[in-house]
Amino acid sequence: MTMTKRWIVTLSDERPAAETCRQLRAAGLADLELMNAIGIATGTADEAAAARMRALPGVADIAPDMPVDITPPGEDGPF
Amino acid sequence: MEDAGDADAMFFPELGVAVVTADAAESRSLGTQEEESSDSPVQAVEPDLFMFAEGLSDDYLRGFRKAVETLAAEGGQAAYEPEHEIDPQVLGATWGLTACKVPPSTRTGAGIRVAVLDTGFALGHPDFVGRSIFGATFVGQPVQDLNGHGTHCTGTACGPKAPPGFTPRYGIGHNSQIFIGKVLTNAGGGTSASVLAGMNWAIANRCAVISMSLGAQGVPPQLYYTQAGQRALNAGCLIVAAAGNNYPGFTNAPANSPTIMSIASVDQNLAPSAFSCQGKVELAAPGRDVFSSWFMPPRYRTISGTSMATPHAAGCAALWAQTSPALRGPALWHKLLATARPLSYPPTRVGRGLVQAPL
Repeated sequence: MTMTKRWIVTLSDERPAAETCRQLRAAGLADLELMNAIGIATGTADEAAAARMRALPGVADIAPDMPVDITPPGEDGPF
Repeated sequence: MEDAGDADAMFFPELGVAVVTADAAESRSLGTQEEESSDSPVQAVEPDLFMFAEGLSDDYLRGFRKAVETLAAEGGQAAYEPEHEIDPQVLGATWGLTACKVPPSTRTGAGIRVAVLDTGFALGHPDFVGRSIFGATFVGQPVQDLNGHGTHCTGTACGPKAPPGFTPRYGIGHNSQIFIGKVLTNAGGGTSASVLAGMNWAIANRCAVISMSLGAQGVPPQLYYTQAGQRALNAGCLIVAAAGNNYPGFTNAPANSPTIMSIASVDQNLAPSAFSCQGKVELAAPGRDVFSSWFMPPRYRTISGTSMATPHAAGCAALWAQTSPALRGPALWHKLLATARPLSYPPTRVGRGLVQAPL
């Protein structure tokens, strides 16, 4: 079974975001959410689909989502 | 429910009610099927109500406030005590606000929207009565802060000028408009996607200052954070973020992005805090032993970290933004750097120096 994960797609200004998002969906990006104010989209896909999306016009970068927190793991503080 | 004491579960014994997250409920084998068992101690399992980007009404808070008042009146605060007793003789303002020259400032943050992207906020906190608070969640949990971290950061950036009783002033932009973006769960975790969603929301709401006391260590600058920071600056929004607490490690993401202002921590002697990361640092701010608001009880706590330094910079930025509508985005960034108090330490630890409020 192919593993999917969440990706963060940084959109470039070379074409309209809505158009790039249509292509991303067609390339296999599911649950797509476009954040217009920052020119970024998120969605889920497998590694192979993500690699194909990287070459799409209007895509500046595609990176896996990653954890963020308020303190180093395993410590109680500082915050 | 005796073990319901973690960040994802809150037990109100006087009310016979527990609030748990879906994950916590699952780990305790709680579900709606519990209601069907006649010998089950669980009478009902009901979903909490979500609240999105709307003004938060008093009706929603009435029950919560009553529960809090009941617990406080019956000595519930004994379970949590601030690490430091407050000496009535030295009341006035916290050391951090004094170091940033906040008390003599005539500015209040009026008309400035400040977004705090964190674990949410303790809605109903008595120090914030009458303040307009707009909230949105990006992690599938209500905005209500069951962690405390977000409430602490909000207190420093936007807390009251004159808190009641023997409490020193701990808040900077006391007339600012508060925007709470819950991008971290009550356990204190999230992902870049939830943080970006909060940034997008804050920029769309034209928040002149966006405070992010969060990060990921050991990763290079991420293009998506850099682009989000640039779009924010273009829209007249300044993002400040915590440098990180893993010294001698280097500045965490997103503070390591060139378009996001990185805030380091200093102690009361204005020396870099031992934990404060090195590398890309724009400014330093008070981050050791910072007194601010917390959920009820205990109402206040004193804690340390670059997380605590960051809202000092955000609050001062809000005061500067109030001085001129031209001070937005890059202009506000440069003003904060130009007015910082130089410190005798490497720029990799304290940047241009200690953030200062306007007169």
